[in-house]
Amino acid sequence: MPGVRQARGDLRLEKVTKTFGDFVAVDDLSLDVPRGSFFALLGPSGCGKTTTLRMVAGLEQPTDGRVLIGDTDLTGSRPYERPVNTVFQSYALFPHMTVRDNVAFGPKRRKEKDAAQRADDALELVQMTQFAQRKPVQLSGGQQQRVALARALVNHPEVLLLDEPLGALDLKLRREMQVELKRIQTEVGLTFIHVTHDQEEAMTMADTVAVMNKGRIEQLGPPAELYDLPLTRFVATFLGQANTGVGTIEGVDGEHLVADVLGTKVRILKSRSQVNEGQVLFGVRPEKVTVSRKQPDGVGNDVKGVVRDVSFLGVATSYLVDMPSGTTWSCYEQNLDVEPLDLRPGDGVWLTWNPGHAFGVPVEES
Amino acid sequence: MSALAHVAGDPAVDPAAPAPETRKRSWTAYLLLLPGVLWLGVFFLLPLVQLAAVSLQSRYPGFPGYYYSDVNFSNYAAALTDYAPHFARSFVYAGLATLFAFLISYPLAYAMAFKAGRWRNLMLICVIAPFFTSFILRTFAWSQILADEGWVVGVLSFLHLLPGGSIINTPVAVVAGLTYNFLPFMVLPIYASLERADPRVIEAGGDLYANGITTFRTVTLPMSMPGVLAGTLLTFIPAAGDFVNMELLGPQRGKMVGNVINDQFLAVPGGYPVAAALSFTLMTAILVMVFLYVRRFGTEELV
Ligand SMILES: Nc1ncnc2c1ncn2[C@@H]1O[C@H](COP(=O)(O)OP(=O)(O)OP(=O)(O)O)[C@@H](O)[C@H]1O
Ligand SMILES: [Mg+2]
Repeated sequence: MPGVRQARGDLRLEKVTKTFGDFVAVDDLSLDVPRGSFFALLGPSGCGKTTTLRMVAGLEQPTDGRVLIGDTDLTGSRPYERPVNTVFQSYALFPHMTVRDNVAFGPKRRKEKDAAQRADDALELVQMTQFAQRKPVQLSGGQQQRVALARALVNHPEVLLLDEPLGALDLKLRREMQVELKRIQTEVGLTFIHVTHDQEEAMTMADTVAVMNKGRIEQLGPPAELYDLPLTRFVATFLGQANTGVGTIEGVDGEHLVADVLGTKVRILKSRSQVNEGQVLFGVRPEKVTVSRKQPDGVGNDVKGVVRDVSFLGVATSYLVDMPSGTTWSCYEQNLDVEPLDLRPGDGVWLTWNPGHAFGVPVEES
Repeated sequence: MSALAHVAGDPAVDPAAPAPETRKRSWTAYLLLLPGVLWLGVFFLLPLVQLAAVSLQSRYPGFPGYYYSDVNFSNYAAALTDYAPHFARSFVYAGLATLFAFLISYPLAYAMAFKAGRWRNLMLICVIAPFFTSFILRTFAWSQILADEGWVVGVLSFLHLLPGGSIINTPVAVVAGLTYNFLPFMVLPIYASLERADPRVIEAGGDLYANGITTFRTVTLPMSMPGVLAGTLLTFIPAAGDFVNMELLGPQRGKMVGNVINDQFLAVPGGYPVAAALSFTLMTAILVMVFLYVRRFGTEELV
């Protein structure tokens, strides 16, 4: 392999910063992606996801910081020297080549003797063998995406970068390709870094999700952990839905903090709150909230509200409830009861939740 | 639609027919084509037919300038035997000019498309600017630039790079003039095709282990081939038929076929049939060459 650096191991970004003029696109970002894992980079448009990937690929050089694979420092090396391949957001297939030549391009450049055979194998992996002789313009979006995937996979890179590769697909095809991508990743065991702004996609596919905002990583962890215990307001609201309210911490009750949210006393486990005094943003996920007609007996932790809207979803029923604080909460109830609740807009209801599910994050966005 | 059909006097039109939309559209298409077709018919096709007829005429012996209608291919024979060297020169000079124009244009177009940034529009204007003056005027300017007293000859002589001591009135001057005059026709199509290329596709070359040169050879250049093809055709075809550059910059002897046609038409009494035959031969030769060239290098977009 002339020219390509031999590097094996985890991908590491150390304090990477990228500025365009005086605009900071990626801000002091550090990241550790274990070899062979499926890592999702999730964030709103313009938060610096593509820029981060481009620095890993070598298409952009960081203003500051280092990019490493294993112990090999790749900072400053050219894209063609890196054992990294990209599936571009727009596929970027070579329009003048057939599908097979597109896929064989990488192996040929690396002077592999069996380039054609490898290309055919890769095309089989993405189930595109029958289209090998076509030109990219003769393919549908989903087919082009598979070719782009095969063209990158065929090189067995240490790290495969996928920049919103499913962005252009319709929902059904998207779901199919998600399953397929996951299957391929398990099969070939490469490190995948998958950029998306679809939180559902990130959560269903990835071992680790990093939520990015304004050039920084806000939080990183397994999807269930991020969903269960967000550390910032941004993560709480960006990843799934959250019922939130701004409150003031008034004291401690054993394991719990007690906060006053616009007249309602709520309790948050100390271990689940990022703030211990002053203002706090209290939150609880919709499916953790129980809706009932009568005030439940027990520890308190309940609020009376007025139903605004009821939508029957089949597996669940979704309620929008106006709270005394003036905010609107949403709640999902699984349709388990033999006698359904049969609530109408305007009915008064009590909402309760297990304090163990509540979380507290700083009110101000960092 | 019915009004249109009425004017056209189409008896088959049924107002209740289910496809009035498509019919209307096809009529519109023909109407839009009409001016162009008329123009081509009157000013291209008719003269072409007439020229073909002239090329087959015979001369009245002893009456220079008088011909009669005939089917006489001897004009073509004369054109080919007497003027073969002129054809050869035309194609060689035009080919050289096309080559030089390509060598100059590609880097220029590449820089404009990928490196120019905010200077891009200014560069485009500079490329087009020569069109604001007349072709003849620009060629005259070149006869000044390349004149024996000019600075080009001065500098080259000083450096002992000019054994002949003169550029004007040599084939070199002709090729230089042709190259210069048709340069924008080469730059613009190449620029357009490079500018249209997705920069991500070129980056993909680097991402897939191709260094700069290999990426250029395997990705960028092939993607700009439609532009290169168009540019070479737009340069070669008019250059092969050109006579102005030879007239103003070239030597007295060893003219191009364009000059011969010009002279036969305007200066030689009774030269019409030969001039017409030469024109037709030139046209056919160019058509054949273009056909072979496009067959060899063409992409789907052009053939
Ligand atoms: N070459 C550049 N010059 C100047 N600014 C740039 C450049 N590339 C990116 N940016 C800016 O950097 C920021 C991050 O861009 P980036 O493409 O990384 O966003 P993203 O997270 O991939 O967004 P999206 O989800 O829309 O693709 C944006 O505000 C963008 O305007
Ligand atoms: Mg992006």
